[in-house]
Amino acid sequence: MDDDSRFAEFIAERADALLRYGYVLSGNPHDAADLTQEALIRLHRAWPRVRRKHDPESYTRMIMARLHISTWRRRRRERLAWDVPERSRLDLLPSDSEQGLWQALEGLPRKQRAVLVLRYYEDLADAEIAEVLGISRGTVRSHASLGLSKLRSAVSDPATAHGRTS
Amino acid sequence: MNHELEARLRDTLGHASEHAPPAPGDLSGLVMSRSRRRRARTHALIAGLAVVAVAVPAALTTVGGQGEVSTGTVVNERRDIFAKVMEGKTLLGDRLPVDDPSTGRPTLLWLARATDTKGDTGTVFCEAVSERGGQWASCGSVIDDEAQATFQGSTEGWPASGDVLYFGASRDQVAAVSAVAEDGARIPGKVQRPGDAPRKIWTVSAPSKTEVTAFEFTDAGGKVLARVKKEDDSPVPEATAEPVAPTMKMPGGLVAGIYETPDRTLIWKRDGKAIGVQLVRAKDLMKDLGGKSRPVELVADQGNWFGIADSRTARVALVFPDGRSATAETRPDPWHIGVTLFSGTHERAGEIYLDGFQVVGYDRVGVEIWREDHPAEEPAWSGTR
Repeated sequence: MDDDSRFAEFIAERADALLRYGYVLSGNPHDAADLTQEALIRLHRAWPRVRRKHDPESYTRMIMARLHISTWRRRRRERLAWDVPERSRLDLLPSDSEQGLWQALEGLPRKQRAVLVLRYYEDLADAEIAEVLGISRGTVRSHASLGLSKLRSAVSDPATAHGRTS
Repeated sequence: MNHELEARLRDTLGHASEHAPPAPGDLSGLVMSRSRRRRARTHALIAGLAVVAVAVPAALTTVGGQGEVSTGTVVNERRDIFAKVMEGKTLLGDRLPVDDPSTGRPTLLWLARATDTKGDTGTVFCEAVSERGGQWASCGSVIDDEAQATFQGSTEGWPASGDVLYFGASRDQVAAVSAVAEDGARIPGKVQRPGDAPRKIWTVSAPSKTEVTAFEFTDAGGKVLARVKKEDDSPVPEATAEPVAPTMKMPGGLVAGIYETPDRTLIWKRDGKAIGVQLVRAKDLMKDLGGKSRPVELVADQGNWFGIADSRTARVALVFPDGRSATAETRPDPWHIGVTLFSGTHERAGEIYLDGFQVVGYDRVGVEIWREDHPAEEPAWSGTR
């Protein structure tokens, strides 16, 4: 099997999982698709090296997380290679409580959200999160603590739940 | 309270993730197509897929008793990429050879009958391209039978210089094509039918600095039959990135700078436009695709040749097959990457990669310390170029 075939096989198997990760990282389907597309393009560029030395999925998730917190995200909106269906965020989640928390996540700075996603969605340890985001463990703990505090106050006072600050 | 919040957060993220958009069925093809375009004009080391150009350092040898000289050869793994991509497809008409207007490199365009990644069967547009990093070929989705003309691709990439070739397919009635620039100017192209192909193939060559927004198709009487918007290729983050440290002016009118996109990247610019890129984060620095160290990374673009070399290197020579050469003194990198930088000019016309060359490094006392051979490139497909 050549590199192209292996790359195509990787995407076929893992693209949906990466989109789910991109979705909880960014909070909306367009940014999820944008992040996934950009990370996969970068993975493709590095494929011969990554395939031999690293776990391609971990590499892609790391790129997605770093892209999400970088200035790249604020500068551009990728022209997607496919149409992303619009969804109403209000009918997404099974309870008002989860809906409130999901909306509260929107108010977090990107780094805080990324740390919480890596810790509570990806189940990574703080040391692993530090490596993924390229920041110190102390910064990870600080972002996690601040993020949780903001979520706690936001869900207890829904009026503060909106307004992205990064 | 914290534990309760954490548990709710886990549940919320898990449930929310189920509402992520699904991946399209042909995502791998879309990604590979964009990736190839993006790296089309970057150096071989950054990537390489269908066929890769791999630097293979040979064993260290001693030359003239004056120390170790690292010698290497950039090896092109060759196979007929046309034959490979056509497995399971039927050629319709002839292949249309077209040279990349910027580099003179050969490109093949043709039509085929095939089943695409969506499962549709019909006429597809195919291309085979020879690039510095290797060669590749691919076929797109089934062409809409009703469309007078379709845009199928271009040699547009990043970094870019020179002219860009745009191409696509059109129906019988189409006699002429023009690219429509942002300012309304028209750039005429060609419409040809390769053999007895069921559709014509159109091409337009335009300067890379021209913002092409659409293509206009007319019949023999000049009546506009269709206007097709040019699909924007994904903009690359590197194109708009700002340097993270002071840039350095280099001979030949080049400026080198360090960017984080997010990987640490050295970008070379001429007249403010990127013409070369090198990944310089520690784990990629001066490594080939197999992870082995090499002494030099060279880029050549329209008379400029430049790159990074082993930090011991004081002078770099570019030696052509006829024995003529160009040299460049190195400069220490101000960003503490751990390399030397070099930049020079040469008088050769066209792509020097096509005819091959050697690049040689010398230390401060003039002793050769490394040599890399870039053999002349061979066609990536048999028959018509």
